[in-house]
Amino acid sequence: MKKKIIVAVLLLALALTALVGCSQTAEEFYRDLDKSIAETAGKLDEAYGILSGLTTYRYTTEVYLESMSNYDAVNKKFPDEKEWYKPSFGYEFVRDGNAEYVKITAEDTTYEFWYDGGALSQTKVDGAVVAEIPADKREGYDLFRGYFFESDTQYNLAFDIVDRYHDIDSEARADSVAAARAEGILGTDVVNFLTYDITLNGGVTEGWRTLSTDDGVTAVTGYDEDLKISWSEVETLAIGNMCISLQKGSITMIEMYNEIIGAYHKSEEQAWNNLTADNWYGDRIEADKLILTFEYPSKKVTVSVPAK
Amino acid sequence: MAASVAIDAGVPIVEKKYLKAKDYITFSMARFATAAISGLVQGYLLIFYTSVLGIDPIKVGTMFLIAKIWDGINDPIMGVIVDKTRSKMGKMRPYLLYGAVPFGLVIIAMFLPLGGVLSSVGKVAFMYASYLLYDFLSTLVGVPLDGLPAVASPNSEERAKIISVSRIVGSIGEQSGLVLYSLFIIFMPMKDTFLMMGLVIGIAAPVFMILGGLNVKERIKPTGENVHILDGFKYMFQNKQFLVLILGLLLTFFRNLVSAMQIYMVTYIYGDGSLNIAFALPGAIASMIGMLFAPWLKRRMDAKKLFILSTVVHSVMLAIVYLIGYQVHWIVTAAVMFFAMLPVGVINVAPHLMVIDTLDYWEDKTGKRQEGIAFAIVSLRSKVSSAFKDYFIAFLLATFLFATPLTSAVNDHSPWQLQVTLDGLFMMFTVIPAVLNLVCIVPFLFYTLSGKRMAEINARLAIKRMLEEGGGEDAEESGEGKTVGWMSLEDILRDPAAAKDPDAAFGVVGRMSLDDMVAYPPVADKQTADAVTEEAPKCEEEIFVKEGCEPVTEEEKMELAEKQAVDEYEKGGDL
Repeated sequence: MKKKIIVAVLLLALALTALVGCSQTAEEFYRDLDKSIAETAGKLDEAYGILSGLTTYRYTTEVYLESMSNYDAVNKKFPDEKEWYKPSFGYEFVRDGNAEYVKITAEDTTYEFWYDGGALSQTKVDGAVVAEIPADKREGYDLFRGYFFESDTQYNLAFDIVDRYHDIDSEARADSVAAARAEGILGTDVVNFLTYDITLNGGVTEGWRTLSTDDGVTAVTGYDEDLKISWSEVETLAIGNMCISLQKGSITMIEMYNEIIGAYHKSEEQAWNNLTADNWYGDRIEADKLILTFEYPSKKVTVSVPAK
Repeated sequence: MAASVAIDAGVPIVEKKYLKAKDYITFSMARFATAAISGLVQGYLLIFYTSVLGIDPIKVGTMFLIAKIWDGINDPIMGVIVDKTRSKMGKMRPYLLYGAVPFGLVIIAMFLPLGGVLSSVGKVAFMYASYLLYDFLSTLVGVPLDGLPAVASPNSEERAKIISVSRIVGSIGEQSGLVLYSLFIIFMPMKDTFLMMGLVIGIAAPVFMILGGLNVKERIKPTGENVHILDGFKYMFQNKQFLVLILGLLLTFFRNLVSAMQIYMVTYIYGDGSLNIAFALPGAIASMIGMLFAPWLKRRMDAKKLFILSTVVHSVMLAIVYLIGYQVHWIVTAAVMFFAMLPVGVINVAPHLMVIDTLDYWEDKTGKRQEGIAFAIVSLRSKVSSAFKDYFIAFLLATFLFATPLTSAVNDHSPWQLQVTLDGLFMMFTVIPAVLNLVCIVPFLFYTLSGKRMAEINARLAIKRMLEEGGGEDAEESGEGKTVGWMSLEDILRDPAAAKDPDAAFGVVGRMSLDDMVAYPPVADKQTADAVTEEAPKCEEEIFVKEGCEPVTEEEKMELAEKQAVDEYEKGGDL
């Protein structure tokens, strides 16, 4: 019987050796991130090539936004009852060569814009032609171009984040982490980027490390091993996630998700020593979601700018 | 106590009742408890590890698979230990009684929200340690609990009934986690919700298990053979019908994706975790209805056909849910899931009856009855299936780019999921299990213990037990004997062909075929009751004329009948 117990214990120990390799060192962690981004670079270039070559397409999207309106950013305090500002609007864009069309539906009002060679040629509000509309509505012109192209040759936004991550040295990566992944899933090529950007208190970026291997740091993001944040030192954590889906060489969908996590503290009683401690946490204060669903001319789909 | 099974021509076969109402209730409570734990672990542990502790799904899936190495050792060991155990309480109950409290404590420990306390290595180590301990205790308590019905009563009808009843109650227990989650999530953050679920179930479950262990007695005596560690595997490969059953059941894990994905559906697709209970309730009710109708359906077709048909219907309905899509309101999906889950109740009950059939088949064939080993393998099968399911889910989640939330840093924070992830989650809930479910049908095509064959085995075992017990003198009875048919067992043993002849003279071979007796016990009861009052003397007379015997006294009749039964049994020939 003793032998059997020994064998059982040895086998258990063997199983537990699988624990080795479950944890990463910081170097392994950053090495893996670099590797994943490098592997995705080919797909990124392919996607960018397709993006910059698009001339006739239409996309629609429902834009989701939410923002905590009563967050005390100055004192880093959350209200007991959170209040959210949640506007929503629909968006449609058509591009057919030089002719472009934008339709925005916001709070029961419909705005339409016609562009010719990039210049605004006509505006309608609820079907009636108008001369002037608020500037913030006009900024909605082609979300896709706005998000992805500063000019026709320059990456913007999500692509830029990947570039920036590559440019910074390993020491400075403490306040920005990016991961990338490209793979085929059920006939669809997916290029996915995930970024974490941390803004420190008062814009201070030197002298300490936000992403730490120090076990004394209280909160752990859970994103991966060795990624830890001291919320008392953080102003915000921005999480950006962009995914491009390609099917048969065409972009079918671009998704963007952005979240701002704000740091906050609250006084909590510690039952074991009868003292009150100021504990730090992070939680969502802003979020937006933008999913662009593309259509191209085909037998079933007509892509053309509506008549003015 | 007087023998209730009289071996006398023309006298009804009577099977005693051994189980009382409190046996059904307390055993069902114990089953409720283990099902609640199993439902909690299977339904919420993966999301607890990935969302509260923030551990990579692939690491969690790997841990589940590694845990099966441990199961591969401890399940057969437990089976052998159970089969070797001889105590006043029996061979099953001690483990149930003494394992209950530690089991509850481990459940509480498993759901401690230690994400902000432990280092990343510490979290993984904690996950391994707590899960392996849970796994061990689950075997320590689960194997004896699964095996208890098989020894609680020699009456196969009672065994089937206690399994059916306890499975239904167990299926309610499985939903405990769902109810608690939906309740607590309203008032507290996700991590505290999981802790509270662990506390409630970890405290209540041991109480229920101990009640079950104290009440249900073991009434079938061990067969006494010396059992070795490798016997479990030998048994599985020697008992071909058991092997076929285990293989079939092993592949049923695809079906469990549906229940495991419900929380992902409401959290990420419908965007509201508190919908969990409302979304899952129709399916849970449907599953219970399915269990209630299982005995009724069983009378119309054998267990194998029932299992296959139910599996096909379940798959078709899941495919319909997929075709409808998830853009509809969640109520529409939940409503269609009601119909998809109806066959699941049937699928859940049938295999458990089949396991006991394979035990009876083995005892009939070899004289050995190895509940401990059989249910250890069933338990191992269940855990391996569960591990396959968890690993498969983890693999699919990673494939569909599921984003692990930053929960431990950011309170109750669920990240956006990509469209491809949402599509993937929905496929994991519907079309993936719908297609892969069908694989489990293949082994069942080779399962042959049904209908007449099983009835013959039961008849032979009834005689064997009666002879071993000296007419049941020592057996513990709970009440009046129950008449289950109008034939003497010798009649069946002597002339089985005639037993199927509906036109045969009443009393010679009986009014009902053996198949009918098994398939329609209530009818058999009625016919027997009629026969007792009207036809018994005629039967008694005719059977002995046919056999050329000349019984004089009742004692002589009994002695002759016993000798004939034993001769037939020892020949072991086909009936």
